[in-house]
Amino acid sequence: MLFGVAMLTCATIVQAASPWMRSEAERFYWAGITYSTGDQRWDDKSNQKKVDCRNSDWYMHQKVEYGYSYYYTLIAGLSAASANCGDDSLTGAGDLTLGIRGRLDKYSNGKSWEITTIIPTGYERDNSSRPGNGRFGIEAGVAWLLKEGEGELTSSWSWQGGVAIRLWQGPPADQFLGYLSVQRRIAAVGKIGMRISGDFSFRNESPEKTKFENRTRLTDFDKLRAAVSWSSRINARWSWQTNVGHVLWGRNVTDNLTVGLNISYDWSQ
Amino acid sequence: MKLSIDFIYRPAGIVVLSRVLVLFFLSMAVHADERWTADKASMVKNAEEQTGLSRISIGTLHLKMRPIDADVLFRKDPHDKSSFAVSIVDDTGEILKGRIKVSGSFTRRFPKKSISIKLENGQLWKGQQKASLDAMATDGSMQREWLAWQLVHALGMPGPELQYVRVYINNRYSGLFMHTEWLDTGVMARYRLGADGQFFHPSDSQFCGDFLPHSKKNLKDCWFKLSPRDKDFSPLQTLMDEIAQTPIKAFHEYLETHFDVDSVINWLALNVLTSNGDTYNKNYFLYRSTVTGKWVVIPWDYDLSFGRNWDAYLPFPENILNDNFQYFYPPELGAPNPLKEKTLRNPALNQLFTERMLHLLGEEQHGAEATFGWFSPQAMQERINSTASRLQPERIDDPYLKDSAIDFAQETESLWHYVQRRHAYLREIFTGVVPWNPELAIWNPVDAPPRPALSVSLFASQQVSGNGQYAIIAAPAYGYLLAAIKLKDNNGEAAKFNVESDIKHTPAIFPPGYDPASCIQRSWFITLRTPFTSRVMDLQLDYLQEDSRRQELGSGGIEQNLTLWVLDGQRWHKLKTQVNPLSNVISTQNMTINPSQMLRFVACPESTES
Repeated sequence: MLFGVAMLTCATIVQAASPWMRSEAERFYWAGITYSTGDQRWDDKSNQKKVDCRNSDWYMHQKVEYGYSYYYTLIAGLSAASANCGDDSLTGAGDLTLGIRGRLDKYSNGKSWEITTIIPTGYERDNSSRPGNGRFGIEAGVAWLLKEGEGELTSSWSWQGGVAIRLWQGPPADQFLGYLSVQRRIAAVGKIGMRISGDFSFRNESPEKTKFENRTRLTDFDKLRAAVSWSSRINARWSWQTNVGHVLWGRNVTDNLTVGLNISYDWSQ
Repeated sequence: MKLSIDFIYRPAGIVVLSRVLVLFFLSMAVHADERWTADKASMVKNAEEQTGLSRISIGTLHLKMRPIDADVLFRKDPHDKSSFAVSIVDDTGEILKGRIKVSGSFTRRFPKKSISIKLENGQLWKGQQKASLDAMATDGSMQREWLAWQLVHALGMPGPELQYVRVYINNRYSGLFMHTEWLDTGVMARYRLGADGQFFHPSDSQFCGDFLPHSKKNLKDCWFKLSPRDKDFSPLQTLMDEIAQTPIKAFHEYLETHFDVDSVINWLALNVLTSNGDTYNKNYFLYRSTVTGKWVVIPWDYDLSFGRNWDAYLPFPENILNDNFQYFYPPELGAPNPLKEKTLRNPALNQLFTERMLHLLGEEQHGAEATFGWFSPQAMQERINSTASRLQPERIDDPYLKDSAIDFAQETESLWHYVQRRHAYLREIFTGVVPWNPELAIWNPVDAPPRPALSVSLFASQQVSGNGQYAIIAAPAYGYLLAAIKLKDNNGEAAKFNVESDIKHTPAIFPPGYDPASCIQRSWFITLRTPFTSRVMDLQLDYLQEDSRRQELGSGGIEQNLTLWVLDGQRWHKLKTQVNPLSNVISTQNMTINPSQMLRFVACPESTES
């Protein structure tokens, strides 16, 4: 059961809070690599426009979660990126995230709050080709999970959703984030899923000129994205997931097609 | 009278054929005596003397927790494995600090959960740093583990001490639990086996602690090493290789050299007596003593024994938790395991095993007086009843049991029904006309051909003594119960009965207004063969509910509402009936039967009466 939840929560890199609390001392590791490409972008009036070059972005993210106690789960993540578009390119470590997750319902799992800080690493913060957001940020949100049917071999549905607010120190526009996803178990083989996520700007800052719009959130942008996924278990502890997604609608954002591959390791299994 | 062909127990054709022939002669001429006589019963020591049941003590354990933790502990998500700060207030008032968490795997789903406590270093409760408190949630009788461990101790096998305890959390009663001593090398040392041995335990979730070739490849997944805390699995590897390489004919020599033979024989005997099939690939321990240089088997986990039956056709958790009942599985029951198979197929070891069984059944001495007849119906009845009477008051205030649907009396009775039937079955298996032959046994149930559908009739003729005890009338060569009769009149004389049972047949004749498809798919026929005097009897009749496919329940109706009807040759009479749906036994009392009169019985659910 945890396998499905774990992969669901990590189905895409941009997310607002995860609903799953770890048991005390439980450890969970997740790593994902995503390839994004596109030669169009949504402009500041949400019109699609051709751009000069096709971007080719590799984005990597690792995350560990640790059950500090029944009531709190600690989270740490680190991103890295390698991107190019025409003559421009960048490579390097991105942002570090440190967070804490708590229970909204003291009796059951699947309803939680989460606060995460976003900390830039050693890259040049004002470089328009930087691999991270370039500023300190804080994200606070809630998430929930609904499951129907339980048991590894039965068909079951699960629905998950989350919303969060992301506040930045300095110029980036603050954001509202949300996602909704559904998964269905296909016998004992794996799970198929669909997810819609959105980043919506508070528009309290002006867009920053960057070369890799999809790489940094340090702009004033909106994005609505859909993805489908397939996840399966490798063995008792290892799982993998692949997903394909595309931006449905946006503003000040690249119109990318994204393919991702994730693995996770769960010590509790 | 019909010739009986039963495939229930051992589908091997040769066995069936031999039994057909035997039954033919038996049904003509053999009138089995009532084997468990009062004389034999008197040889069995009083159960309380044997086991100290009169001294069953119920302890008290006071725990202190943060209120929110105490509130959450039993109500949180069952999969969560978090621990919480706890303090034990021991008998002297001393505070012992540690962590508490829900333990177990399957039982986590129950409202009343088993818990374990680990105290901080240097702090001991009852001499141990860890304490395990079993909620007994899967066992409505709350006795299965207790009874099994009483036998373990009576046989002198190494095992943990047990005690029922009332658990209070923050001065609030949280129910009756079973404190099971933490099984560690300290326990082994107490049995003079040394504390520095090699200690292994099959993984509960992998089902491969069975010495079969597939488990050899995944040794570290299949087994946990408990002590010493190293990664050296070579002793187990060597053991597996040796068991695999030793031929059956030399296995007694191997076992003598490398094992505490008694621990293996007793383990098998315990599993056979209790019908514990939930083992041989898990649920036991292996300890290689540095004192004796031999391996010792320590049994484990008997909550799904004593008649409980796994159901392959139901989804989880109903496949485990159901009201199926069986007592007729042969000694090879359970998962395949070469240690079990080679022990039971080796002639010398099989003789030892058979003698141990006969000893515990109270049939032949072959051992210490203290355990002779330990599993006899009388000894077990006393044991079960005295334990139940001790537990009953404790259940009244148990917050998880007082409003539960569990019928404690029914659960206790089903234990007793199991013992009655298992004893009769095993007696037949080991001393009957076609003794159990390990060479014809099916050692890997998965490879066995599907069992054919039941379509049989069974017959027995037996003398029932007037001693006021139930006499089990079982089908010769099968051990399958046809009826249990207790004579109630006071003339003290024995009487002979013929009993026949049409199994898995829709009743051909049934009470007016009933749909025969809704009735138990069986008819019973009882004839009093002793002339001149009518007799008054209490009667138990069984129906089959081995699993969701091999069962005789009719369509529709509630099992609990089954009512027994009797046709006395002229008309149907409805009888005052008690049903135990757990053991599938229908009972009626104070029935009069006349000489040479054949009574036909059927059981139909009351709600289907039109």
